[in-house]
Amino acid sequence: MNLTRPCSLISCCVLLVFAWLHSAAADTKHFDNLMAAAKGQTVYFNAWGGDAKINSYISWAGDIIKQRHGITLSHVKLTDTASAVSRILAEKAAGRTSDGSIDLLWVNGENFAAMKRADLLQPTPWVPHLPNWRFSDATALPAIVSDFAEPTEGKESPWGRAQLVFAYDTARVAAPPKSAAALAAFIAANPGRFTFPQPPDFIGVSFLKQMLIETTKSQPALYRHVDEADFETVTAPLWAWLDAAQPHLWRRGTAYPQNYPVLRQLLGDGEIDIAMAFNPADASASIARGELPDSVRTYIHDGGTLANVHFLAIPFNAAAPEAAQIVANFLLSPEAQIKKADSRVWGDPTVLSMPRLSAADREAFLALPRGVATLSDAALGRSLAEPHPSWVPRLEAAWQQRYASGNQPG
Amino acid sequence: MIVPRNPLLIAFSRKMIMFFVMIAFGLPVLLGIFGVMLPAMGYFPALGFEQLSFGPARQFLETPGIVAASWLSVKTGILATALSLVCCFVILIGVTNSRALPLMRRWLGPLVAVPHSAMAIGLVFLLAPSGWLMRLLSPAVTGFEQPPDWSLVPDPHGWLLVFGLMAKEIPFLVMVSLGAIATLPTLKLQHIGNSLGYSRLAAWGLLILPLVYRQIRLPVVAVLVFSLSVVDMALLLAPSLPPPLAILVLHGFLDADLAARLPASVGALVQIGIGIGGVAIWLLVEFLFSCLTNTMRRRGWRLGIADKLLPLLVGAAFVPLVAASAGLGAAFLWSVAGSWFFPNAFPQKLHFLHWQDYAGYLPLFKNSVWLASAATLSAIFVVLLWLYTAPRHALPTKWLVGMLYLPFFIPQISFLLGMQISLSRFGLDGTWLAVIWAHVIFILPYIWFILAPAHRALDTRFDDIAATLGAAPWQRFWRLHLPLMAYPLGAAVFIGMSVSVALYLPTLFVGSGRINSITVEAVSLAAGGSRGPAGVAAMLQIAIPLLSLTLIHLALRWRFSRFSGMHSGGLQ
Repeated sequence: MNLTRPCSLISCCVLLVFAWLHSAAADTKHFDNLMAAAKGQTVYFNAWGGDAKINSYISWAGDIIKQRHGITLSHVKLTDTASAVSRILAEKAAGRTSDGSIDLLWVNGENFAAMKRADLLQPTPWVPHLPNWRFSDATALPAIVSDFAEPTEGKESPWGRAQLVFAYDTARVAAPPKSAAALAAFIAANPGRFTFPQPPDFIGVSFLKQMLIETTKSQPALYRHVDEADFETVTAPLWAWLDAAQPHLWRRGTAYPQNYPVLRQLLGDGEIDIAMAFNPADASASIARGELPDSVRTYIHDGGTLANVHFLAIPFNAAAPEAAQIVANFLLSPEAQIKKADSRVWGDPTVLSMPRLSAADREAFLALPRGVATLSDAALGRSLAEPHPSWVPRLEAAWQQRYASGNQPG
Repeated sequence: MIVPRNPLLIAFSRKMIMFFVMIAFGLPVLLGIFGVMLPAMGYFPALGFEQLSFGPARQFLETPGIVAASWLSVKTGILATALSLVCCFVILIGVTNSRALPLMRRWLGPLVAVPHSAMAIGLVFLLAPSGWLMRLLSPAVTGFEQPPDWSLVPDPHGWLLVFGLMAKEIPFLVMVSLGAIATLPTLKLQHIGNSLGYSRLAAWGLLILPLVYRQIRLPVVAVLVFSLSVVDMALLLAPSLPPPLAILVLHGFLDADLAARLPASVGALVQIGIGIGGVAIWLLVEFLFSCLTNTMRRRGWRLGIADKLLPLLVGAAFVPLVAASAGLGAAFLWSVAGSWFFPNAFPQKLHFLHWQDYAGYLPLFKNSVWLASAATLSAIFVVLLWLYTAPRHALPTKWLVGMLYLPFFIPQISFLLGMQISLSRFGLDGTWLAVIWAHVIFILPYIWFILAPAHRALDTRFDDIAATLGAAPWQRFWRLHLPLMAYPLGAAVFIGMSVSVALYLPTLFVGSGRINSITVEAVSLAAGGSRGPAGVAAMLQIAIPLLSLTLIHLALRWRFSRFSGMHSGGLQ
């Protein structure tokens, strides 16, 4: 971005002619054009709306974006991101190629893969042209360009990092079970005190994947397309684990909480002993809001837990694609990322690279309070890579087939 | 004053208006069904499905738990309707002609206005194993230090859904029945029965209630079809393994894999089948019941001892209403609870943080108010326009009424998706016009149900007098008919507002996420486990119809309290 050096200027001009999209100067100009086009637009930001603290973070961002850019950010609160994907698909099916109802979508994994497959994304890569992209480092954190092993191709902007973390109440459980085997023993010894969100809920499927990876000892087949593997054989240990656990689950496995906030609430109510979330600071934030008792602490499994990155994508038919990029750029800024990482606000880890930040921003990150129940970065160190996204629909369907037909024991 | 008097022209314009109403408000329902028929038969060219096939039907039948889901829908829908009707009748027997009646009316009005979703939220807060009821009783009575692992909320058999539907439908049926009873000489009939030695229960059950039922049959069937395909309450109260059919269909429509819409379209049609089948079962039960009562009449059963049970029955019939009211109390407590852990009977800390978040709710609250007002006024306008232009007793009117009542008898989920696809094609989904229009479709039958009889009951002699005094038709309408229908109009506004605020699925589908209401928000907050915010949203949901009820009440009292005999057909 150094525009003061003449040689860079000259090269920029050349690139402007030949490949203006890839040039830094063009990016700036491009972005200025975007700003001009975006003024007065409304961005319909479709994002899962089941967590009050995330919702208030988004409305904080909306206030700032309104002030600085004259863009109205309207948070369309989804109960399931898949429903937004299907809406875009429906619009495509109805021939609505512009002026679509969704401008920006919070997405990752299977939903992103599905959008990519069906050509529902902005056709040209836009993320590398965001001015704040320079604060990230894809070599240090490859997950920001590879979503569940699916290359993002610059069509979704990283927003935050997530890792599966378990929470338990120290007042009731002395030593939490830190592996699939230990968890199985805990469930058998404490009937009715464990459950997980009902697949196809995102966290519920993530729990299945976690157990799949642990019980199969990270089979390499999991990281390739599911069609290349013998699904039944590979997943057999997972079903054996679930079959053994099911009669001792909460409500004997006849009912499951529908998502992780409900699961967290069950922990708060004392109906269960262990909850899980895809956010290391979730428990701390919940304690601060009085939703969990302050005796709750978190842990991860000894072999590590699933970790991934979540993104922002712009549909192909967005009505305000320019403004959507401005919003994505703001959400990627150190300012917005620092606020988001604050466990009193949301506690979602940043996707930015510390060495690339200014000293002041780096210090601001380090100065954030971690929260009473949040693990240290060192303790969170062991992470597992997400299986290939093609496993998700197969796991969902197989789970439905086995446990959702209404004739299971109990 | 210069009105075209050409009879041909008048007849033509009347026909035009009727066709307009039919096309604008009845046809979309039929087109919506048509819109799911093609995908159900495997035809969805936009997705590359271009040949008719049984594939979607087969796929639908292979859905895990599909039989259990369909059975759950049938079971809960019919049970909820039957039990609601029984409770409604028991309440009528217990309360009509008693001093408790005015008190009950005051309680029922607000309960009718409470949206389904708000009521479901309250019931969850009240009845869960860690709910308010258990917190009040623990550990003193139950001895539980931590909540028991009981299969409640949701229960695997759908009883809670039945209970929730009852809490919502009993007040509605009682209100409709009280309207019917007002036209019957109940006291006289009861005295005749009593003088012949029939118990109060037998006199009502054999003499009066059959007459009442005849008048409320339409709303009862509407309740049945609604219960068979309910979505918002089922999302919160029904079991999820498997859920009722309507929820499975909804999941299919919302699936990221658009191909899942094909079997879901089959499901939408099956849902219509379940509606028809449910009504058929209902008619059969109706027939058996009339055989039974006929036999009882012939045999002259007096059911003398039954009256001893009556107080018990009346008490039991009120249980769902009491639970619903207590549930709303629990929702209020959660909206101000700082932290509230089991087994504390009341929140340990109170705060108004959730309420201070009002900026987040305000746009949704405003949306709901606008939607409800605009849709209600439009619906009233359409009904009045039609009442004053359509030739009375003409054949097309019957068709028209049938068309208007369609949303009562066709499950919402079955035609809303087809509608959404068509709207989306023209880029109209997510616009205010489309959402208001969808709301009008759902409000119209209620408004017609209230205003048509009121209009018919207008004493035409007043018209003649006014005409002889030189009043033009519009003057008569403005200065005579409107005041005379003020109370039914008030009732129409109140019901219209209540129905509109409660609409979940139409707002969700037609609003396309761009236009949201406080009700859609409340369901998603409650489903997302945010109790405090869901409590606030539930309170705001209730506030709209209650405020409108209060305003209507005050306005009518201010304007018409000096007049007598003005109350018929109104809310009272």
